[in-house]
Amino acid sequence: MNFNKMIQLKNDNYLKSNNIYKGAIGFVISSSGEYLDALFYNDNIKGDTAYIQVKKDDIQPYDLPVSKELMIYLKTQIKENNLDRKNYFKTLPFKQYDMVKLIVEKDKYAKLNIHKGDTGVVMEDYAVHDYILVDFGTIDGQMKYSKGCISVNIKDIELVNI
Amino acid sequence: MSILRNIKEISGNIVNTTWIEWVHPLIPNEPEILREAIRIAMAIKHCLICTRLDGCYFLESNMPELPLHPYCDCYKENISSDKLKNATAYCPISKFKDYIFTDEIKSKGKMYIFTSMGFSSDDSYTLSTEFERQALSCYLNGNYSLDFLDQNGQRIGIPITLNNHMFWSGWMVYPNGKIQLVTPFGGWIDEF
Ligand SMILES: [Zn+2]
Repeated sequence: MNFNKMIQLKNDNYLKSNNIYKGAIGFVISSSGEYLDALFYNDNIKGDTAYIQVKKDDIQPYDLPVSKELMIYLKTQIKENNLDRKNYFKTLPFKQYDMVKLIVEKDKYAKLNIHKGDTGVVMEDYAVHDYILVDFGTIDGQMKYSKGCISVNIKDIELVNI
Repeated sequence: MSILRNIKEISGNIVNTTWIEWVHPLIPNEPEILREAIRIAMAIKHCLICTRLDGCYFLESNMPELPLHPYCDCYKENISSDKLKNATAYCPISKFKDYIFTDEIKSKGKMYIFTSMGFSSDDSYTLSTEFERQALSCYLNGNYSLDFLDQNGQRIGIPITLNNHMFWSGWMVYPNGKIQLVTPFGGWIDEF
């Protein structure tokens, strides 16, 4: 296994135990025998990573043109930062176009006239560092527009069944 | 001559039409997975907003404030008109089919706006291509307004005209001149 290449999970062997899906991309951090320590990136919640031990048979190289300089920087940072040693991917509890409700009252939302109980629709299929875009934009009976589309912490909203 | 080359008059105002790319050191414009890996590696010491702005194109006279914060590592690079030709606007059909034209509760009144302008779910493809056409033209002419900027990226408002109605649409700016629709309706133009 070339340590200076990205890798990809070949199967769903880590889905039940670690919530890491087939196709997840990451890096080898260290190797011993038939196992590797690897860091994987969560495509559904950008910024989320999982650090797990995988069998060499469960991964394949993921070919990307990465310069040596960049690869060294990445590996050094991963080691120095001791990135997020949790061994699972967080779950994004919403799909694109799900209807959601704001379940907290916070200044950062209130100053945009968005309050606890307001409903909106999730506009993307991914979150970034736990924030997802939700369209709270509302048209009233007089065709006037209010509220708007903002990024909201996924812990501050819940799914509304319609 | 060279100083005046990128100055032109838009709607009676003299504006600087130089285009720039926002650059944060070390982050490549693509592929996304490598950008993501580097952004995460940098997350502890670097600004999440700046690392997301990397690679995005803006008119120099209509760009996020640079430096964005104290000790900001970012800088801007001029973009040639050839490079700017690669700019694209993408409007997913699902924004109409699976959002605007679902029902009044979910769209919170936006379905009524589009149906009263004479459109239905069957027009989703037509609407998405028309949004792409108008948005790209407006973006390249600097006719956009900077909206929210956070860890999710820079959103811009772009005016859309349909059947004599003018309203804002919301877009996300991505690297290499790509903009993608976030929401088709962000308020009437005259309300702003
Ligand atoms: Zn910066």
